[in-house]
Amino acid sequence: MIFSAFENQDLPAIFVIVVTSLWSTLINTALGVQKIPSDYWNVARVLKMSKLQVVTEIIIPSTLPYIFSGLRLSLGTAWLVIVAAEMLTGGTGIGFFVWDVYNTGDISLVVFSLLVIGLVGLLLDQLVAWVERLLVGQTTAQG
Amino acid sequence: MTSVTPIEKKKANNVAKFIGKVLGRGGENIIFPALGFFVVLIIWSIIAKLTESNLSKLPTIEKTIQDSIPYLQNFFSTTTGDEGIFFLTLYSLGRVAIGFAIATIIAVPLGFWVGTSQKASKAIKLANPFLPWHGYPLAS
Repeated sequence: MIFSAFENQDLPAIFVIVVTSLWSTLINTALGVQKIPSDYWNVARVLKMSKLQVVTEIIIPSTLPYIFSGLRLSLGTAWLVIVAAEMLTGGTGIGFFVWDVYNTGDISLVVFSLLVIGLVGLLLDQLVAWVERLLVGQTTAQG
Repeated sequence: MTSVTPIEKKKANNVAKFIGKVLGRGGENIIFPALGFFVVLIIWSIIAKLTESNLSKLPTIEKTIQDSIPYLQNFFSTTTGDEGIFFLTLYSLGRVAIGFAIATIIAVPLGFWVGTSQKASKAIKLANPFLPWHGYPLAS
């Protein structure tokens, strides 16, 4: 019920999130792949690894820290953009709440929702950092 | 004299270590964030004081707390059209989760490809300064 996505008003919001949060992950992942030492590629060539093996045994383990720093940036952008997107699409959501109270003239409530958005953003960032610690062992960026 | 087994001692040591890690040296992990928050509150109250006579004034801290109390009491309300903050945030989080999952599924394999191919990394240079709002279809 709550997560009944792909309603009419949800599609544009989700599209905006996809389009905006794509880039930091993509660029960071590409950077991570480019930073793989050439020795690793040589090893792959010597062992005659298949394409799939190269991905699972060389690319993924050595780019995981880069992917996660990209994901942290992306999630920050996504959470930033959803507020703006919901101001325009309306209906439900915290962004709509901001728009609603702004139009009523309750600036104090805008400040209140600002605090809520900030806290949730902090929690989301820590969530990704926690998953990273679980998978990689240590975080690349200080949270 | 009470006897303390080595295991108990080790456990107590671990708990003390964990608390020490959370607090930091001399409690610096708690004190300095609290100090920073306090400074922000002071700046806020100063600006609120300065803009008091303006038409578009910054609300004071007391007014903000007073106004948000009904919304905090209404936190878990599920009434349609008057949802509590909790469910509004959950709606937003649901959208973010779906969008972020799709973006990750697209971006990570694409990133692998772009990283390994020279031509693809040149092609992505164009998309690098892609501005967030250029592809936005406004819903009616």
